[in-house]
Amino acid sequence: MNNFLLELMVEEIPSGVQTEAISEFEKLVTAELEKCRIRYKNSYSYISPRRIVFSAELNLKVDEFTEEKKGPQITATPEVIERFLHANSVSRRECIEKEVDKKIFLFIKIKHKVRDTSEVLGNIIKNCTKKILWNKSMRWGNYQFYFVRPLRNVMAIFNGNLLDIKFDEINLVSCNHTYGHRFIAPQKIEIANVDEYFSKMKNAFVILDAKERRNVIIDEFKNLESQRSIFVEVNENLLDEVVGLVEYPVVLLGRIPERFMKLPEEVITTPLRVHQRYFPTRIDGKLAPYFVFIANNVATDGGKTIIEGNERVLNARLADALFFFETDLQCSLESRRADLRKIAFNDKLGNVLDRANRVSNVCDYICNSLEMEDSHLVKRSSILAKCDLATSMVCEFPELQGIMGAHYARIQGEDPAVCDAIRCQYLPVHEITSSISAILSLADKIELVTTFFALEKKPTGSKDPFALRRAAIGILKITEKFQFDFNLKEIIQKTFQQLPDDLRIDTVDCVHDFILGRLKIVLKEMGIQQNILNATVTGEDSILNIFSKSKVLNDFLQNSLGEKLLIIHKRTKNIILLNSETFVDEKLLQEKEEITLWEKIKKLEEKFSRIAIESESFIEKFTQQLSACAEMAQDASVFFDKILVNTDDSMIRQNRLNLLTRLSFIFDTVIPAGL
Amino acid sequence: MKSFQDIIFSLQKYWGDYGCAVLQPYDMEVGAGTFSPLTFLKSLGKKSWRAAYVQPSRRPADGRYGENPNRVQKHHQFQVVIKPSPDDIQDIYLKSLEVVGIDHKLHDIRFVEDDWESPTLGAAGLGWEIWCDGMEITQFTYFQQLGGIFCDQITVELTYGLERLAMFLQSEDNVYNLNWNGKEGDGKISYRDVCLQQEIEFSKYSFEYANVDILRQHFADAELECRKLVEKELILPAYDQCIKASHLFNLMDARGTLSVTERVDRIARVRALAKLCCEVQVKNHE
Repeated sequence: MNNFLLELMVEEIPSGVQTEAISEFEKLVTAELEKCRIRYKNSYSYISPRRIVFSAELNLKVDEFTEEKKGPQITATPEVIERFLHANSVSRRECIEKEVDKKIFLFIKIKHKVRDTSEVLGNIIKNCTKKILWNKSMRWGNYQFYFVRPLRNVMAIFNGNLLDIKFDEINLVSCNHTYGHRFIAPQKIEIANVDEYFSKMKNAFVILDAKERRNVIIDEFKNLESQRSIFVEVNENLLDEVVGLVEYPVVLLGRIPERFMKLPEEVITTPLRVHQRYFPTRIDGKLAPYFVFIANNVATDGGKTIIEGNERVLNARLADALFFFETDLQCSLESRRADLRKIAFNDKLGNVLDRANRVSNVCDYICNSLEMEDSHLVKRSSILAKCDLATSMVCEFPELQGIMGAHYARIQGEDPAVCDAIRCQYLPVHEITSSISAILSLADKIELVTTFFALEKKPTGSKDPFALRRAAIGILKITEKFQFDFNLKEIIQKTFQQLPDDLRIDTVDCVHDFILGRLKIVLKEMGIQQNILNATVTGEDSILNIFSKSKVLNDFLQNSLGEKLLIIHKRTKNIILLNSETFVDEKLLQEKEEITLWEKIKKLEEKFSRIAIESESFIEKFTQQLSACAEMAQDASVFFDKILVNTDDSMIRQNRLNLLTRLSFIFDTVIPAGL
Repeated sequence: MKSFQDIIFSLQKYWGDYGCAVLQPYDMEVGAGTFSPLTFLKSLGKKSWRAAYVQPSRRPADGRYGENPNRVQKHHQFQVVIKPSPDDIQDIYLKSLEVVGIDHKLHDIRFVEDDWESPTLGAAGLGWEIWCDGMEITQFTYFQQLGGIFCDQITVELTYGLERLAMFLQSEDNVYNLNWNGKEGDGKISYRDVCLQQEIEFSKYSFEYANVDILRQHFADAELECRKLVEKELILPAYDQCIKASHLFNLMDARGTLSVTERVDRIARVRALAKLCCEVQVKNHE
């Protein structure tokens, strides 16, 4: 049975930091217990908006142990040694000498006697409390003490007694009482032992365990679902946040007036979720006119007033949204282009319309390069892409950019592919499904990275305010996902040419290098070995070919055939060194093995040309050529075993070198330099 | 039902009884009660301070020509500042809600994390938005930094949004229908009677007629004057010029003429003024 209980009562702790803080606190405390030789078991911890709780079963006595404490090197100055001896109240004779990393240090042995756990426990708790790393902490009153929010009550009970902990900095001393739910049971509650604590807290409307609060909410959702035949749309992040906002969750259901239900779903669900922390509901997949929310109070009227209040707040927001929606529909989306001129983008690069036009041009370049069939749809998407930034809905709810554009485009009868492209431009690559949408998103990102590099605003260290790294990775992932084979550098070049000419002149190279740098990271995450990606990522190949080559090589070089080919390739190169002659005189071929090799080389060369003509894609060509080379490796290996290249006869020697050079040149076309 | 003015009376009485000096609004255009020197400068240094006052606050960009039932370019804040923050401040605050008529047995009151930051004042604090049945009715902030200076004693600032609170208490969906003086029939004075004309006219001014060249000139003048006055160590007159610059910036911003970089630049310039004032205040009044 646990004999130690600690509860820190804090003014409402932000929801987002609770989970991490409690696991850190438990780790800190248990590590400190181990360090101090206090045996423990059954440790657990809980966090609620107002409480940090830790409990464990602790030995009543601290184990006896001897600690070896490291001092200065024996070669240190006498003052340093003296200071060490003095600080630990020992004489030089009591020290032992020990070697660490080939240097000799003084050590002393400190014997810790058996002590009562209660003597040390208070300090352990106090130190660990102070050591919790909050991403933001604060001071309050006139105290010199930092914590996530003001710490207001410390309850500590050990072995049935109050454990004394003094937080002198904030004028707080531990006690054996706590308080219940802020509104339902605010009274003082005396606690005698651990078991009593949990039952008393439950009676005082405090559910300590976040998991339990979560389950209460989910169970209530299920009840509502069966009662009302609705489906509650649970967003896990939102649920986690709400679990950290309440000590006693009460699930309530509100109504959305019918007049708002004609709004696009996102216009309803965004204020619902983001601004109000409510959960939307559905019937047969369609948004239902109900919302579900979690209160932190058991109201005496059964929640009627709370529901009415929340409905009123939501209605006000939706009334705004409806007004914006209807106003926005009075003008065509395309006519908003004129308004884009009024939105500043950057002093040097003009307004948002200028930017939209650049993106549109980049779309053209990419379409031309890819010989895209539906280029007119891409063009149309790019003309409308940014128009929603000038609508009142997006001004009010910026997170609806793209989404509103798509809705307005759909309502005005644009092609579904165009609507999809407008919607997808800001979405992560895995959500983009059509190549029309992919090109618009790609163009937007290339323009973004190029212009900000031109303005000398490239990311440095941890700072990347314009999210250019993410944009670069987006460029790469789209290229791979949609198998877009185009010359990236050329597109960057053309993008740059649209900008005013007083900007950074080496922008094109910088952007290209930056994206290739990101490419290495993307390849690494895909599991490509470092030596392979170092060799494949060069400015010579297209991005798509680099992806293909890296993947094929990575698989190929992991099997024995591949390894063998690489060994032979290196061996060949080591023999031929700088020789670049490739003429082979058949008359000078003497041995069986070299004649065989020569025949095979000729066949391989033919095979290479055939593959080049017949393959339908780069990757097919590359894969086939690579396996053809691998077959050669066996013959080359026999050649090396039997034939001495460096014979005394210089003519024969040169002929053999030429033979190998010829082979090496073939290998070079598939195996990147540096591998 | 509590009228708009009754809410103010109740809060004034409550916080006056608690020991705050009940003051009058600062007589300049400010974006929030925090800008008043009675909060901003008084929160620096070691001397304790307790004050409560209504502060009409101007946010030109929030103007809606009197057409939006929820948003106005000039709203009223009830501001409470206490330094150092009392240990039981949350309970004291919650009692003030009971006093204005929010029975916590019927309502859902929540402390929702809010990291407050004012880039123009170089100020930051931690605290919460207080939600009542899903509506934000108060900002509750422990100041940590003002004018770039870390606070010595920590001030707690409570800012009640009076329009929101009144709409909540009067169950009213339209701000202009709020009952201001608590009378009915002919004797009734509504929020519309008091504020509608100013909402319409100031929206027109901020969005259509404010002369940007003049605003820029005024901004430059205020900046210059502030720096001169700081040199003379006339902190309050200097700080008035800083407040002026801040409001002029808000007007320029509402006109939509600022590019992203100019915006950042002007915010930094106001912040520099606020910092100068704070530094002298701390130096001279410790």
